[in-house]
Amino acid sequence: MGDIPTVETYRGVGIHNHQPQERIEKVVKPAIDYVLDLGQLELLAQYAGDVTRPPEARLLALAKCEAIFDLAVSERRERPAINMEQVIASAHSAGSNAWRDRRYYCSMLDVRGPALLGCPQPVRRETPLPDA
Amino acid sequence: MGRPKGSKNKPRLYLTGEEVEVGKKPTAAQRHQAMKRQVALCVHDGMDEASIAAVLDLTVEKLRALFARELRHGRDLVRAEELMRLDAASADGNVAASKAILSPPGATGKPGAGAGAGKPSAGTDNDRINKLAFRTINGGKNG
Repeated sequence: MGDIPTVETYRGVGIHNHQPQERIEKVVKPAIDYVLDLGQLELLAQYAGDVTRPPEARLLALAKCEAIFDLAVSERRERPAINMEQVIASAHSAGSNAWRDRRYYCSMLDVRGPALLGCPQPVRRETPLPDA
Repeated sequence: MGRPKGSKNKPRLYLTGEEVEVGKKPTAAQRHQAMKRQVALCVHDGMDEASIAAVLDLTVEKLRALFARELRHGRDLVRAEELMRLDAASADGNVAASKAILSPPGATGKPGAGAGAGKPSAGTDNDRINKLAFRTINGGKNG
């Protein structure tokens, strides 16, 4: 599984290609700022699995969850009460080019409920991704 | 001079109320005490009520009725017991136990480590986490 190509790097986080500059400035970068300021593991895990959020910020949230977990392990502290496998499964595919959703800003492997029942849906792309 | 010989002067082992005598069936109070400890440990481990009830072969309602305190404060109860053991070991001259008691909250065996685990206190912790996260992202640990 290859990673999604990036067009620029913002505060150490790669911004994915095939999205308008307006979205990058107004949605993606503020989301990265928000996740960088976020410190609570529960909120980070929740953010990582939220399909309505930009994939770049979700991947950052996942990396922060792993960092918190790794820190607890290396410092021999009590492990945070969270299922890391579940968190990884919920967000890991957001960085995969092969599983990138052509019509939405998310992965095809992301779990989303039916829109008719009011389940949160990912943001639709302005223009679908070109076929690989 | 020593202790005078004879069966009357031999030191005897007296069991405390909570200990079970060998070969004797534990009393209901002793069984309940053991189950309390088990529930507190399960809560400390993060198990939910349904799982604990299944382990103890009880209904969830009965579990809630019998072990309400343990279900609510299980983590703190286990931690407090461990602190007591650390204190006893520290009093016996165990340096590691003394260090564990004196180490700042959030470190091994101190209160607050469980509740606060995964909650970085302030800026410095968050910076460390962010640095590690960047390493993960750029190192392609997930990729």
